[in-house]
Amino acid sequence: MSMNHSNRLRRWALMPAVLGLALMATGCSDDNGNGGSGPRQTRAYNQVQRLGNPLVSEVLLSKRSHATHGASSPVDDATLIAAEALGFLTGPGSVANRDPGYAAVLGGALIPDMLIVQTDKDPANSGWLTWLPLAPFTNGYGGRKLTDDVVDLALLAVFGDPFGADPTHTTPSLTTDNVNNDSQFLTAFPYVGVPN
Amino acid sequence: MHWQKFSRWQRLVMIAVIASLAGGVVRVAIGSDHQDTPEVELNAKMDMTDVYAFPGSGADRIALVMNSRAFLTPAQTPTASFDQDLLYQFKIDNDGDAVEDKVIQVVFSGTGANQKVKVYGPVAPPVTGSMMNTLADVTPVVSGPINTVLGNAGGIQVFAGPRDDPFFIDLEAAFCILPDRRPVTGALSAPCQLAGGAAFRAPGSAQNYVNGFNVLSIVIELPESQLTAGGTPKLGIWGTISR
Repeated sequence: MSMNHSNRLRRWALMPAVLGLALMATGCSDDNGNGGSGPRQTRAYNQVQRLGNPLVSEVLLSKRSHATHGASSPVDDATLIAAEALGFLTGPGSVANRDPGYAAVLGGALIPDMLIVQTDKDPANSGWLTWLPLAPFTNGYGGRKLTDDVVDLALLAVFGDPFGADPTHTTPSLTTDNVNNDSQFLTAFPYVGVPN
Repeated sequence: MHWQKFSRWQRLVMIAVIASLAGGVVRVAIGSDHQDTPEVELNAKMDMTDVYAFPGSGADRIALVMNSRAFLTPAQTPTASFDQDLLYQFKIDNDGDAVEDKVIQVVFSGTGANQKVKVYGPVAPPVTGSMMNTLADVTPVVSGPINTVLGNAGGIQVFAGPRDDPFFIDLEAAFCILPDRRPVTGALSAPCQLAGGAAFRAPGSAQNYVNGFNVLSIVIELPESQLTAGGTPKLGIWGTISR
C-alpha cells in the first residue's frame, strides 16, 4: 500500500467523523432557539386547546364538542360550532330558551371566539365584553381583566337580561354562583398573584 | 313549597329552569376551561384554564396572560414546570377576519424550577390555523429562567411560572346540579355532598372551589403597537396549546 493510498483512505475514513461532528454542532447550536434540548424548529405542532372568550365552549357546547373547539380556530367557528352554540340559546329543545333575536346578538358577540380588545378606546373601560356597543357595556377597551367575574357575567348573559332586550325568557335563580374573587393581585407586572 | 300554588305558566317556567339546570349550568361548572376534555384532564400540562388581556402599565401597553395546568396543588408547585414538548401561543387577529396576523410563540426547555423560557414574536405566523404550526424562524425576543421577570429593550416583559389561579367558581354546587358532568378523576368525581342538592348555594355558604390552587402562568406585557401594526386598533386575541 502506497503512502498516497493510505492517506486517501485515512481521509475517507475521517469523512463520516467530520460529517458527524458538523451534524452534532448543528444539533447542539441554539439557532433554533430551543436551548438545544427542547422542541426542534422543524417540528410541527397540532393544537389541543384553545381559549378566547371564557366559558364559550363550556356553556354553549356539549362536552363531546369541546375537543373539536380545542383543535380548531376562530375562523372555523361559523362552520363548526355556531349552530350548536345557537341551539343552546334558542329554539325548540334549547337549554336557555331565549328570544331568537337576543340569542343572535349574544352569539354575534361571542363568535368567532376571540377576546376582543379595542386598543383605541379608554383603558379605564376594560373588562370582558365591555367592547360591546350595547348598554350596559360601553364600546370600551374590552379584553378580560383578572378581577372579572366571568362566571356571573356569562350566567347573566345566558339566563338574565343584561341588555334589557329579552325580559320574558330569563332564569333569575341561575344568574350568579355567589362566589367572588379572593386572589391577591399585584399592581405591577406580572400582576397574577403569588402561588399558594 | 307546594306545586299546586303555582299557575300552569309558572310551572312551565319552573320546568324550563330545571331543564336549564340539567343541560346547561354544569358546562359552566367545568371552569373557564379547566379540565375541558378527558384528554387534557389526564394530561394536565396541556390543560389551558384561562386567557386574559388587559391594559398594561402605561399608555400603548397591553398585558396578556395564559394559564395552564389546572388545579396545581401547593405541594406540587415548587417542582412544577411547563411541558417542553408543547407550543404555547397567543394568536392575534388585527384585521377582523378571525385569522391570526401575529403570533407570540412560547416554548420551554429543561424541567423543574431551572426551566428556561423562550418567547418569539409578535411575528407573522409561519402557518395559520390550528394544525401543523411551526416556530417562526426568528431570534427569541426574550429568553431566560422561569419564575423571573424578563425583558428586552423593545419593551416586552415576560414572566412564566406558578401563580395563584385567578379563576373563581362554586364547582361543587355546579357539579351537584348535574352529576354526570363531573370529571373522571379527583375529589370532584365523587357524588354530591351538599345538603342543598342541585342548586347554587346562597351567598356566604357558596365556596370558591379554585381557592388555594395554583396554575402555570405565562404573562407577557408589550406595546399594543406591536400587535396592531399592519392592521387596525381592534384586536381579536386567543390562546392555544399545541403538541
